[in-house]
Amino acid sequence: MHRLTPFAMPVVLPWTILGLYLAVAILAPYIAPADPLAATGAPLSPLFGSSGILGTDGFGRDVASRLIWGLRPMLAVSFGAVFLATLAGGAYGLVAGGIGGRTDWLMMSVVDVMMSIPLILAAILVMAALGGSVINLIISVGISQIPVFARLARALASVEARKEYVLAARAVGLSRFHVLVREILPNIVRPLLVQAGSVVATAGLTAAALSYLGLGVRPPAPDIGYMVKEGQELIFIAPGQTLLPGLVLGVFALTAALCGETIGQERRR
Amino acid sequence: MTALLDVRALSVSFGPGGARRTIVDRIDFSIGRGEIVALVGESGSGKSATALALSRLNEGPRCGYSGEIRLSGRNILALDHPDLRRLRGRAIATIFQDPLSALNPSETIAQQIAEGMRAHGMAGPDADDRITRLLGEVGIHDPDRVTRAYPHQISGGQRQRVMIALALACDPELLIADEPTTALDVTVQTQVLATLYRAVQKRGMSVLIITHDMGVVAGMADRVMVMYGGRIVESAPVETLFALPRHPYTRALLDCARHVRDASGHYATIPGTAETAFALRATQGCAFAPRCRRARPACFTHQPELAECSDTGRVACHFPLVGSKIDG
Amino acid sequence: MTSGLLRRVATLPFMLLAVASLIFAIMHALPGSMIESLSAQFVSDAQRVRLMAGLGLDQPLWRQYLVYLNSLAHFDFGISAQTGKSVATMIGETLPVTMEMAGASFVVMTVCGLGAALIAVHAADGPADVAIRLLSIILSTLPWFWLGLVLIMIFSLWLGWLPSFGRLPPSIDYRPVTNFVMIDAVILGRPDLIGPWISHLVLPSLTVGLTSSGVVMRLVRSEILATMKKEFVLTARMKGIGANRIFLRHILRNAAVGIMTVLGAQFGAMLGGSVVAEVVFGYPGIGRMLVRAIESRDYLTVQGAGIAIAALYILVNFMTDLACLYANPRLRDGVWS
Ligand SMILES: Nc1ncnc2c1ncn2[C@@H]1O[C@H](COP(=O)(O)OP(=O)(O)O)[C@@H](O)[C@H]1O
Ligand SMILES: [Mg+2]
Repeated sequence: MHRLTPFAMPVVLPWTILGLYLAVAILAPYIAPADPLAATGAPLSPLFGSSGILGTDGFGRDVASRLIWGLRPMLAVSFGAVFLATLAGGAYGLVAGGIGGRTDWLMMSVVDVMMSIPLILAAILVMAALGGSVINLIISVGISQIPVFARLARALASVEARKEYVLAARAVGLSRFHVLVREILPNIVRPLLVQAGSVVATAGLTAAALSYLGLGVRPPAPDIGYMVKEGQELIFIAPGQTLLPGLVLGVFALTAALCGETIGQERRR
Repeated sequence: MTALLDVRALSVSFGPGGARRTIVDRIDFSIGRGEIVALVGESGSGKSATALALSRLNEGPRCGYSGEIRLSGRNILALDHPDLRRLRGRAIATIFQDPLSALNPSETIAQQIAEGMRAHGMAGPDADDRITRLLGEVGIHDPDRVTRAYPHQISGGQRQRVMIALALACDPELLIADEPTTALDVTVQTQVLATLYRAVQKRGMSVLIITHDMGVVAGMADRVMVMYGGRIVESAPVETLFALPRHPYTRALLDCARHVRDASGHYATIPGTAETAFALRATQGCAFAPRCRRARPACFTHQPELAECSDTGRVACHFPLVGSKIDG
Repeated sequence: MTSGLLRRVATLPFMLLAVASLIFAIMHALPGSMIESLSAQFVSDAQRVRLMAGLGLDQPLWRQYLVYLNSLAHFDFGISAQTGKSVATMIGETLPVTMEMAGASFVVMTVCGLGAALIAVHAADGPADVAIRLLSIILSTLPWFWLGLVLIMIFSLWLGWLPSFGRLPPSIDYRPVTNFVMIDAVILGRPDLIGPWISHLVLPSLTVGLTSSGVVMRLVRSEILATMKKEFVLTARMKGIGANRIFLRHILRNAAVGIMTVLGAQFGAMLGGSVVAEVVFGYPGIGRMLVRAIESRDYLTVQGAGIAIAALYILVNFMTDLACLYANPRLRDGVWS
C-alpha cells in the first residue's frame, strides 16, 4: 500500500523495463527493421543514417536488428539457467537436508567441492567441453549456479525437517518422499524464489562474458556479448559498436537485479 | 535524607518522527541511598525502557526522553556526552538479562572488566589483582582461569557472575539489574541472586532490580514499584505491598504468584493481555481498566495520578482496594 | 586453538584432490567432450588414433584418472600441443601475472568496498547511505568486461593517460626471474620496471576491483549494522567507553570475521572476473592462456590452467579461514554458533 508513495517509482520502473525487454525479444521478428544476418548497407554506417537508426556494424548488418534479436539468447540463458539451477539445486538440497545424516554430509561435501571453483571458471570449462550453443550456455551457467541453490535449500530443509509437523508426519508413517515433497517443499519454495530473483542478473552477465570470450552463441548468430567483442576490434573507429550492446546488457542486468530486490522485500514484510 | 536518584515526569518514546509511541509515560520515583527497589510488571510494560533510560542507553534518533532524571542533584538528561560517559559505569552500572549476548565474544573476561576500569582511570598497577579478587567475591571459584577465558568458555551462571563483577568494577552508586537471572537455570538463579545481594549490601549500594519473581522481591527489596502500560501504578514498602496491595493490578499479580484459586477452584489469572494497555492510554482512561473487574465508567475517561494513599505508599487508582479482599 | 585449525588444515588436501577430480570429470566425462572437439580438427583416422594414444586417451577411463593423479602429484601437467612447452612451465609464467592482477584488484575492491560501507554505516538511512546502496547495485550489475572497454576508451584513447594493452611495454627489456615484477625489480635492481608495470595494472584492476566492490559494500554494511545491534555494544556503552573505541574494538572487531568471509568469497568472483579481464586488456595471465588454449583445442593446457586457477582459489579460501580462526576465539574452539 505504501508502495504508491515515493517508493512507487523504483518498484514499477524496473518491472516495466524488464517487461519491455521480454516483449521486444518475443516480438523480434515483427519489430526488427531488417534481417540481422544480412548486410543491408555499407559497413559502419552512422547512427540515425539512411541504413537503420543505429547504423550498421563492420559487416554492414543492421545494428538495431542485431540488438533486438540478440535479446533472445540473452534472456533465454538468463532465465533458463536460473530455472535449471533452482530446480536442480533446490531438489538436491531438499533431499540432502530432508534426509540428513551421512547422506546429507556426503551430498553437501560434493557441493563444497563445486563451490571451490570460481563460478565463471566452472562455466568456462563446461562450455569448452560442450561447445557453443544457447542450450549449452543454459546448462553451463545453470550448473555453475547449482551449488548456491543446493546450499540454500539444504539449510532451509534441514531446519524444517526438525520441526514438529514433519516429525508428526513421519510418526504417522508417511513415506519419506511424501514428507519431502508435500510437507517440507512448500515451506522452502519462497526463499528459493527470492534467491532465483537475485541471480538472474549474474547469470546474464556470466553468459555474456562466455559469449564475449567466444565460447557462447556461435557467430554469425546475433548475441549481445559477442557484439561487445566484435565492437572491441573497432574501438578506434566506431566506439558505438561496443557501447551500445554493453548498455543493452548493463541495463538488463541492473533491471533484473532491482526486480529481484523487490521480490525479496515483499517476503520480508 | 535526600534521595540518590530522583526521577520526575520521565517519558520515553520510540519510533520515527510521526509514528512516535510513548512507552514510558511521565513516571515519578526516587531511590534512596542504600535502598533496594524492585520494579515489577508484565513484559512489555516498559521496565527495560525505564532502566536503560536512567543512563540514556536507549537514546538515539529513534528514541527520545522528556522529564528529569536527577542523580545526586545533577540532571542526567541535560549532561553533555563526555560527562555522560564519565557517569556510565562509574555512577550508574547496569546488569543485563542475557549474559552471553551482553559480553563481547572476542575478548577475554579480564580485558572486558579492565576496559571499564581504564575508561574511568581506575585501572592502576594492581588492576589484575583487583579483577581476580572481584571475581572471587562474586562466587567464581577459579578466577585465574576465568580471567583468561572467553565468554563461551565459561558456564551461564559464571557469565552472569562476571557481568555482576563488571558492573561492580568501578563502585557505582546505583546498580540497575534488569531481570538478572531470567536467562539462567533455575538451580543457579538463587545462588547468583544471593551473590548479588551480598555484594551490594557490603557496599551499601542503591539498586533498582527488575524481576518477575515475587520471591526475589520479598527476599531482597526494600520497596516495590509496580509498572503497567508504561506507568507506575503502585509504589510501597515490600511488607505493606504484600500485606495490603492497593491497586487491583498489584493484587492480581500477587494472586498469580501465590497460586490463589478462586471460588470455582481455578488458579487466578489476569484476564486479557497487556496489548490493550498502550492502545487505551490514548483515550485518557486508566490503562488497566479494560482488564479490571472493579472498573467503573470514570476509569475509562480519567487517568488516575499516582497519589499518596498512606504515609509510605502511593497508588494510581480511582477506587483503590481498602481491605485485603477483592470485592466484585 | 588447535582443534579448529587442525580440522581446517586436514581438509586442504582432500579439497585439492576433489577439485582436481571434478576438473578431470568435466574434461573427460561430459558428452561431446574436449576430446571429440579436439579430434574434429584432424582429418585422418590414423592421425587421430596416434594423437589420442599420445595423450593416453585410448586407455580406459579409470587408468587415465590414475595416470592423471600421478602426474599431478609430480606437478606434471603434460606438454602443450600449441606451444610445445611444458604446461607446468606455462603456468609458472602466467600464474604470477594473474596473482599480481588479482592482488591489485583485491586492493581496489577492499578499499572501495570497505570505504563505502563505512560511509554508509555512519550515514545510516541518510542520502549518502541510499546513494551507496544504489551505487553498489549498479557496480555489481555492470558488465565488467564492457566496463574495461569503456575505461580504455576514456583513459587510453581519449585522454591518453594510461596504456590499454599488455603488462609491460614491448620496448622494455624484461627477463623474468620469479615472474613477479615487483620482486624481480628488487632482485635485478630494475626500479624502471615498476612505473610502467603499475600504469599497465591500473585499468584492469580498476575494472575488476570496482565491479566486485559492489557486493562488498552491501554485505559489509549490513554486517556492521547487525553487529551494532548486538547487546555487548550496549554493555560497552554502559561501561562508559567512548564512541570511537566502541566502533573499533567492539563493533569492527566482531564484524571482522563476517567481513573477511565476504572478502574471501568475493575473491572467487574477482578471480573469475580477472580471467575475462585479461582477455580484454591482453594481459598475459593464466586466464588469457586458458581462453587461447580453448580456442586452439589445447586440451592439456586447458586442464592445467583450470587446476591452477582452482588451486589458487582454494588456497585463498584456506587463508581466509585461517584469518577467521585467528580473529574469532569461538571458531578456534570449534564452536560455530
Ligand atoms: N528500541 C525500541 N524501539 C521500539 N520500541 C521499543 C524499543 N524498546 C522497547 N520498545 C517497546 O517498548 C515496550 C516496552 O518494552 P520493554 O521496556 O522492553 O518492556 P519490559 O522490559 O517491561 O518487558 C514494548 O512494547 C516494546 O515494543
Ligand atoms: Mg525487559
